[in-house]
Amino acid sequence: MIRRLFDVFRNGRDREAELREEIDFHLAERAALHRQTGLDDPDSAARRRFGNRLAAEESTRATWRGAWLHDWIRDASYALRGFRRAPAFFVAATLTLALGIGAATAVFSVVDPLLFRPLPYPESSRLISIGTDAPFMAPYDWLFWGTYRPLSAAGLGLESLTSWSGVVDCDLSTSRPLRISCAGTEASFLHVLGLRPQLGRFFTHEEDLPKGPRVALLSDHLWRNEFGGSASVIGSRISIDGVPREIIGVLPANMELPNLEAFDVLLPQARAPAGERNVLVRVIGRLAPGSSVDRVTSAMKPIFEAYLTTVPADVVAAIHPRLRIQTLFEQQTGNSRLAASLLLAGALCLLAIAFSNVANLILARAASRRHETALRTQLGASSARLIREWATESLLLSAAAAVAGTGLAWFLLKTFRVLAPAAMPRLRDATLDARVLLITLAVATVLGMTMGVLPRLRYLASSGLGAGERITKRHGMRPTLLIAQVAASCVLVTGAGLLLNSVWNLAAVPTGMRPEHVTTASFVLNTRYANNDRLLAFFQNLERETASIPGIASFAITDTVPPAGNTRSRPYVALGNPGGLSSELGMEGFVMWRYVTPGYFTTLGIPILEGRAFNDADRSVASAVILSQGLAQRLFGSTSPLGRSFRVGDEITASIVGVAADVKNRGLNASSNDEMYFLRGNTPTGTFLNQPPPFGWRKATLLVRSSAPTSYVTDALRTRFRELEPQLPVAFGDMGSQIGEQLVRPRFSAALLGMFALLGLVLAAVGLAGVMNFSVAQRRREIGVRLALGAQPAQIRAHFVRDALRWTSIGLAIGIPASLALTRTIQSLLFQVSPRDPATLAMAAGILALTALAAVWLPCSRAARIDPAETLRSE
Amino acid sequence: MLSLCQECGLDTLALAPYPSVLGNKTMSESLQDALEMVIFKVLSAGPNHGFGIALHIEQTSKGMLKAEEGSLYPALHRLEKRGLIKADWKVTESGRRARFYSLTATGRKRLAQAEKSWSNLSRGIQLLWEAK
Repeated sequence: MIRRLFDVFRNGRDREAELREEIDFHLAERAALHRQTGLDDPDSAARRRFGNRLAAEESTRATWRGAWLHDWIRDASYALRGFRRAPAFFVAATLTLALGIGAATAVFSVVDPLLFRPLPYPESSRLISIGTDAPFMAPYDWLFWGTYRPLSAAGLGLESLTSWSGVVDCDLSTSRPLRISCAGTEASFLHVLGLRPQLGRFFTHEEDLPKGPRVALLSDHLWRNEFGGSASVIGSRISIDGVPREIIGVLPANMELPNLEAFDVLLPQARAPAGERNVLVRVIGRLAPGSSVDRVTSAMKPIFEAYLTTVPADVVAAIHPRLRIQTLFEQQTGNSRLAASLLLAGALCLLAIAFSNVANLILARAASRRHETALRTQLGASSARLIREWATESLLLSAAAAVAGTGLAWFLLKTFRVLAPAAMPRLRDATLDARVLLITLAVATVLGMTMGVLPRLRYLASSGLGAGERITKRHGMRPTLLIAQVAASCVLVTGAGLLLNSVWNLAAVPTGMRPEHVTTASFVLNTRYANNDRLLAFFQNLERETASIPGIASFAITDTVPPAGNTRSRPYVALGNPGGLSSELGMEGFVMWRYVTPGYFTTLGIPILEGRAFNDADRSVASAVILSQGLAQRLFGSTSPLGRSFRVGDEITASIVGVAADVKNRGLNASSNDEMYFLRGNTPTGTFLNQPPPFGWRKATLLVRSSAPTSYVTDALRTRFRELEPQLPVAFGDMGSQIGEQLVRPRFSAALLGMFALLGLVLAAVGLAGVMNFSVAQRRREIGVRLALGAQPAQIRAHFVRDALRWTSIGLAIGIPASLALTRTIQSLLFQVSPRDPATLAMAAGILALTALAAVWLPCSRAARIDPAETLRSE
Repeated sequence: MLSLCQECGLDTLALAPYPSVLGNKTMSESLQDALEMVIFKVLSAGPNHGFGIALHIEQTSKGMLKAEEGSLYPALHRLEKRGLIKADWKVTESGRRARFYSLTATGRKRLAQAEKSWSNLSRGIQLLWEAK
């Protein structure tokens, strides 16, 4: 081989000259011989005898150039011919390998950023989040500003500490008004994360004060899209929410916030150092070298407990606040980890099935071609030559599988992205990772070549041509692999079945409303409406305009929409226990509430069980309230709550005018929480009118019930909105999709596992068919004899079918206990179905049995159709 | 290519299913192999140059086989490329420079293998021949 390489590099001209000299010598010698025998014109005779000299030189040149290439092409064409003669094998093996490669690549491409890629900050493993886990206060870990301010980084075992306030919607006015997202952070934010602006500078502590100079930093994509990516943007002024700010820097490209939320502009959160004690902030710290999460936790505990003593005991009992300190990585991936692990497990299962399948197929083919191998060895083929041929064959197979597998991976990723819930942001950005693809291809190629060559090595040293060799074992390794496949498929199908069951149950949950034919329009008014009068006027105009649309049955304005859970809420204890009852629940828990207009209950189809819904008269008087049935029960027991009143905190005295049926308000899979409905009056009441969203009235949804098609309603609303507030972005939808949102996550998990289960079934079926095929081919003579002796074709078929069912049963005998053990891990994803659900297990077993039957039908029929005369003759 | 002496009237059977030294091949390729086989045999007697090999074939086969000289050199270079023979420029007795070929160790081994298969095969065919 090395000689060949050297030959290539040798000077071509030398070789040419040498060859000519060689042939010249030959001709001269021949001519001399002719001269000796006295022939006329010896030179011409010599040339004639030599033949076509040019052709000879050309052929020789050809051998210099491409002998190895020629060999390889010959091997390849031989392999291709082999594939064409056995198309079933080629298709099955390629498809199987492609499935394995495609699924593995797609899954690893997705799981890698989710689970394995570190966060995009220097030494990101040292970043931790410190906060209170109290979901009813906020869906993130938070600290009060008053608690956070006095904290010292060194005292907690931290190198540095910072806080930030999340992302809110804001308005940018440049050449045209734009709705963007603004993140508010402390001056130390970028430093703690270990990042630096790519242009300009970050703001200082002085600029982070309420009366400080107004500054802002742009994100990279806003800078490129809206400001042309020009460096002159530094120092220019922009108006955010009506406030002029100077741009002092541009943040690095691909910068991520700790909670992965998208943002366009970063502003100083500008908290007063000694004021605003009860504002929530999110806290990030960087561990000092040698420190740990435990150390920080033990340092924070006394501080946290000291803070808790300042809160009334019953509120603490109601909110259940817990101190939670975890690494930023854990915080980000925690929710997604189960789904990602599910993906990984599914893909590995599939890969195992795929490889065992291909091994099976190759073993079968190797055994059936051992005669050919023996013959060729006998005729002088070297082992190296045969191995090279087999390796070429496997390489071609892997190449075909690679192409198909890449296509499959791309398709799977696209599907993942479409199905992915919004809560898994990194999933949405998953792309085909070239690195992963290459690794998978390399592994598949190496494994493929090994499987293509190793099992056939034993056929190289064979003793005779043909007759003497017997098959000592009937089946050998093949059924074991097959049984493993069936077991793995059983696990996958059961898991998928359970998840599908859950989705079905979830979708069938009665929501307590009639959400059909209801269009939604959600919006957030900007700071132009920070004025109470203007805000009220807007809503009054909106109601008037909506009422004027022909063809609508009813409409309402609310601040939040069920069944999602992000409503306002108050601790139960704040209602003051007007009914004087006490229950086992005590004063625990929260009560949700919404601000609605009178048409709310009619529009959503929520029945009023006692009393009445709100009417227009209520809107100008003191606060009317409607309780949910659960709340009425809890407050007043069996007594009627109508006409009673209670205080809500210090601000509101509410009088009860009605009781509404319970509505799902914490998602579909949790029981509904107690809820109360307040009326949006005609005059600004309380302090709730003008707080920034999501408090206050500026964030709202208009609900419209109409039997007209959604497009008609949407268009009509769009026109009205444009007249009222042309720059307002409004998101249109319908209640059906609002509820559908709740199903996105479970549907995703179910779809994923279902896909893997399907692929696994296909592979198991292919494997079973392949093995059965081989078995039939091996036992042709035996079958021929049996048929000749009077057996019925149906009996032959039944015999093989029994074999297949036996393997399947053993596979199930392993698979079902495995399923029972493994499905416990997905318990948290299940809804109203037990992980040991017998119906699902039975269905999985049934599906596998049917698949097995379908797979072996063709080969078994082949067995039955064997012509005994032919087989007996040919052997 | 080896061609049979027309007037000698010998069957081509003896040469057609010739055992391949280098693996499974088509018809023309096996005939190429026959030539390579013969080259091996000639070189096993000692190093020789292209013309000498052609002459040896004619003389030793008593005129029954004649090497087509045009295909000799591609075959020689092919074998050289595969490392089965090696070549050196030497001076002949007549004082001219010629390229001498000789068997390598690998070549010798291959020759031994092929000789065995060839004798098995030809014996088998002979038995069949006589049995009919």
